[in-house]
Amino acid sequence: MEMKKTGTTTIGIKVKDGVVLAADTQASLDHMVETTNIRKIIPITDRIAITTAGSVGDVQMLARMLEAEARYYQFTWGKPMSAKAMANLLSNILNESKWFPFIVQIIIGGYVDEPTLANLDPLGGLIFEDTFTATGSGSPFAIAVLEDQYKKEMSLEEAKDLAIRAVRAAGKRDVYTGERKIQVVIITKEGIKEEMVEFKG
Amino acid sequence: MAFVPPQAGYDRAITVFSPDGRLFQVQYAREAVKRGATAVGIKCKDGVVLAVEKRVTSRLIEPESYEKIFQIDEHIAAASSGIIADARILVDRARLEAQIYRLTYGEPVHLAVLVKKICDLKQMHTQYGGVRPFGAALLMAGVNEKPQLFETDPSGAYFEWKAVAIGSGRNTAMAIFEEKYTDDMTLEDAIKLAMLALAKTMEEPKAEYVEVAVIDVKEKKFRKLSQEELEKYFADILQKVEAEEVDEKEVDYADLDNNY
Repeated sequence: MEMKKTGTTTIGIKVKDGVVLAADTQASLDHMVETTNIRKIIPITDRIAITTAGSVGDVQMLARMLEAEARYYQFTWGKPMSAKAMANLLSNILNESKWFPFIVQIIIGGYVDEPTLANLDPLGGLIFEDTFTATGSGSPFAIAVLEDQYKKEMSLEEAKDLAIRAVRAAGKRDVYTGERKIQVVIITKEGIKEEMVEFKG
Repeated sequence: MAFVPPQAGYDRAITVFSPDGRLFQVQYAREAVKRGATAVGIKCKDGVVLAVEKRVTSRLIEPESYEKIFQIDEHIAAASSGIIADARILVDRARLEAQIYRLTYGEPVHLAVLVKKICDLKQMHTQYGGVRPFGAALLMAGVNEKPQLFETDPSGAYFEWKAVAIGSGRNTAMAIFEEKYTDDMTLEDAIKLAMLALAKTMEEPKAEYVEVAVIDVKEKKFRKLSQEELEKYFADILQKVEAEEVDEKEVDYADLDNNY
């Protein structure tokens, strides 16, 4: 089977009050737009979400596995799985399959004990980010915006605006990133809030 | 050869039948349950209740480490009687199977499926060599479409009940259920009846010595009652406990063992 190129922009920003995840909502396959209305950020628990880039089937499988593992962890140990633990678990799962890998780039964002942001490559390479990260075909554009505008003392609201700006830049300059809607997920210690933001405006 | 006990040797290996068709190791396992702390369960139209006696033997034990009702999944709970160590293994397996089911079929596991899986495991420990039976019975309660309550026996047999008790207080508790259980009870009634039955089996009935969990039909979520709630219910039933003498009399619920 011929591998076709898929495109996406997903980003994650960590500030002191929480984590912001944002992504475009277009699924593209090679030069065709499959749909402009999908969710690329998937909640795993009431405090952790992941962004998806790469093979949709692989990410969905991993999301189901993480959901089951998180619930099993909760019942076994009587406390919720932390985002750090989940990132490590996912890193292990990915690396176990290194000879037949999951084709994914995943960002994990969560606030269980503390704001946590991590980036995973297909073989399980795990980087805990203290500031921001971006994946997908549009990430070079997004990361430039983040690099320029990110400040450690940002409020959540400012982080959200920055996230939208970064995805917008990628949508304009990357052919494979959508420019219809942006999915924004904000995770604080109160839980997860989701918003769909119109691209224009 | 004066003191050869009858049927000597048939209790050595679990896989060997005695000439009258019994597996003695399995019966001994059942005996371990009979000596265990009492656990009761009651099903009603709007939920299901589990309650257990906590035998805290020393004031130095950290009470919250002493747990006998286990959450298996969002909508399923289990209460154990017998050897706690054995029960823990069954509970772990049930938790795992519940999540494997969710992962495979994308929906919450049905209680009956889970009960069957646990009992398959228990049965295997009565037929294969190198193992011993689990010395624990579990009451498994949950809500899928409707509330359900199962008893699982060390042999691997399982039964669905409206109200049931296992452990040392079984006879007393079953007598109370036979008398007082009705099909139109509310969850509140069921909690009170469960606690009443439990209190009757205890030497010194106190809220600290019981653990109660409920799953209601609306939320379908496991919830353990707080100490304050237990105190409240206990205050309600305590006069009743003292007033009525339980007549442990005529009916001997040992007959129930013939079920297995």
